Amino acid sequence: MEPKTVTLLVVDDDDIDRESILRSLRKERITNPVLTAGDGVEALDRLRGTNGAAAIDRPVIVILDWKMPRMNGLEFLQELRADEHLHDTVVFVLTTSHDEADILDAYKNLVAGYIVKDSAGRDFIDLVQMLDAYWRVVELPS
Amino acid sequence: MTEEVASSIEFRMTAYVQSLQGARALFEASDEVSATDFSVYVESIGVFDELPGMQAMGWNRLLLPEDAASYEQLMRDRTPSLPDSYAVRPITTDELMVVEFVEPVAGNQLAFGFNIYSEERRAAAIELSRANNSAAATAPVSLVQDNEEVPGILVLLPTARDGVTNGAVVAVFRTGDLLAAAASDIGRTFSVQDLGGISLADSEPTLLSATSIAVDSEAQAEIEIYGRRWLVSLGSDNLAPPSQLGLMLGAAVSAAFAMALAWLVHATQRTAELADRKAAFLTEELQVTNNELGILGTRLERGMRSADVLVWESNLSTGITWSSADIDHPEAGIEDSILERIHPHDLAEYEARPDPEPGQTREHQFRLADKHGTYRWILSRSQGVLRNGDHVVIGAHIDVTDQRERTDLVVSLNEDLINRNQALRDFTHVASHDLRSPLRAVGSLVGFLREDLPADLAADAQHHLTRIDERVARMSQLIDDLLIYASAHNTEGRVELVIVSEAVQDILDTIEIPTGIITIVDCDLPAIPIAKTPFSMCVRNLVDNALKHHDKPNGQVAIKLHEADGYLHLAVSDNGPGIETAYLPKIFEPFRRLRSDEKTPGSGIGLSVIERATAAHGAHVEVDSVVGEGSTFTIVWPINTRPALTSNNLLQQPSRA
Repeated sequence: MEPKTVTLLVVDDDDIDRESILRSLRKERITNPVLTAGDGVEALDRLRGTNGAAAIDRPVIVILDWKMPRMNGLEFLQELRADEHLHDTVVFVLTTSHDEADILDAYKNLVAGYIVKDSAGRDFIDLVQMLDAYWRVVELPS
Repeated sequence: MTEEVASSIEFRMTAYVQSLQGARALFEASDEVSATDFSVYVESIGVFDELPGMQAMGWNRLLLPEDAASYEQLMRDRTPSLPDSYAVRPITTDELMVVEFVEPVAGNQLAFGFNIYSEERRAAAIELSRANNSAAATAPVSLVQDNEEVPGILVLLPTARDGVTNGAVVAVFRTGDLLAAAASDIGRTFSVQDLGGISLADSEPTLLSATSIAVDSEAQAEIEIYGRRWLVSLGSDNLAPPSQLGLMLGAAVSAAFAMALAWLVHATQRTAELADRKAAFLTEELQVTNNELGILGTRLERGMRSADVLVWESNLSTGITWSSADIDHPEAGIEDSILERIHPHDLAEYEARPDPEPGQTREHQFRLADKHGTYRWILSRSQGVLRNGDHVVIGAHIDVTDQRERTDLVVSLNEDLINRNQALRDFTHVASHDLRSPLRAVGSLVGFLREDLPADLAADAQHHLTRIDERVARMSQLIDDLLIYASAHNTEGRVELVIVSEAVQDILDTIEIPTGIITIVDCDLPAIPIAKTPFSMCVRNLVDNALKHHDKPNGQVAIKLHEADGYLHLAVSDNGPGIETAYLPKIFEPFRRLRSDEKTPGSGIGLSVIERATAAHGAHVEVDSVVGEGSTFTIVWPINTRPALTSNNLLQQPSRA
């Protein structure tokens, strides 16, 4: 059976960072569907299909910024893990913060990885290449 | 006639006392005097032959009650001739003065082992003689050696060896024998017969009130001395005309009477004299003690005043209270009950506190209104004691308002400082993120432009994009440095034993040394205790700075370390361009660069970070520079001291209000 295509949800309040990821995906010729959200509230609507948003097909991988308005990364993660339908969602954190406390909080909430933006390569090219390999190799919950 | 007899008695008295002093000398000169030694001494002075009247001479040993049993056994072992009834007796006093030797032994055996401290008149005389270290006579006593039937007088003189009293020599006089001895002084013998009478125990110890003489016949007289009656009979050896018999008897009685009187007056006078001297001594002692008490009281009062202390006492059993009325104490001059003056907020706790039980202590603080109505903080310490069956609480009120105000101020300033530090941390955290984000975005956008614009973009436009990239990189560096500078005042940094030459070499190993520049490390120091992390940071910055500004293709950077006066001196010298004197004061200002060209990397933060970090650790940095020859930066770093409390400027308090 052909595995279902993985959808990528980029949650970041910085539109230029969002665009950087999209450009890198295009450069790597990755055609998986990519959706974006400006903060945690918007991201939850997208995942749940609430407030007029169309529900995203699973499997899905979330790329999550940590510092955002309205609902930040940590608050989003806590709500996600408490949701009976979404608690198993795979999440990577992508943030400017090196803070030890932030890293600890993220892994306590079962993120698949914590990535500092400065370490992700120009226009996050390293992150994009890693993801490309990741969803080819790793089985995800559907 | 009477006077003659009296002076004769005085002569005898002196002789008796001298014989006692001789005996004392014997005991003081010898470690151990045997019964034989003592016997030989008494024999040699011939006191019984030369001066009849003394019945016996002896020595009593001073003993402690716990040693009595072993002493008794020792005496039995040493003297087999002791009677079976021998015992150290009675062992009822704190100290024992036990009869060990008596001469002559015959007729006095019953005295051995008797503790003369056990009888109050003897005890009084011993105490008197010991207190004055001289002879003392007892009031009339009944003599032990005669089954306590015969009245007599003892004269005691304490003995000592190496300054420690070990006993007393004793002369024993029978009152009757004294009277008989007087007979020879009037040229006629007379006999004295003890007729018994009033029990000695009941008699008054004074002679005068209890003496009477009744002449029965021409040759006999009955006298009463010390409450006992004596029959004085003129001897028939020297026949005199009957008409003179009464006269002679009268003379004999007066002689006996005068002798006893003189003897007692002498003893009483001496006793009184000694008592006076003792009293005078005690009075003097009391005066000294009173003076000392007065001085002590004054000192205590001054101490209490200067410490703002009020001392009080409350007898819970009787309800009587007392307190020291110190005029400077906030509580002085206030009659209101403490309950009316205590701060309403502290009243419930004050009333709920239990009084300390005997042996317990209590401590608590509360606010109390002073005579101006101003509340002062009072530290109350109290202790429960049991005094004559009463439960008494003794305590002190100490005004601790100033201390509390200072402590409160320190606490509030410290909280303020903690909050400020937290705010600073929050600020730098936010700043690093919020400043970086737009900068990253600018960098990204330049990248997008490069990708999206035609490849044949004008050279000018390409150059502009490159310059944007450079400025973005520079801005990013500035943000990093700003964060380093903000945290450089941190006083944390564990003090550890550091081999500084190795630490410096480790730093050099991680720095890229430009080709052509040599580094020299000159250090001959043992491991020294310093805060390694901030110290290393400063060294790295100095070396970086020296290398960065070096302007010659071949140069050197020398690092010299030595210790002086508890400080580590680390000098980093280069032979670079040097710094103009006019600029020297400015080089430690943050973000101050002396050259505006873009070739020298860095934001100019290095030296200011060093200055901040050294100040935080009680160290400092100095610079010495000659243009064209080079610069020497010296860090003077304290060894084995905790970081200076620079974050605690709160210790420099405004003076108390």
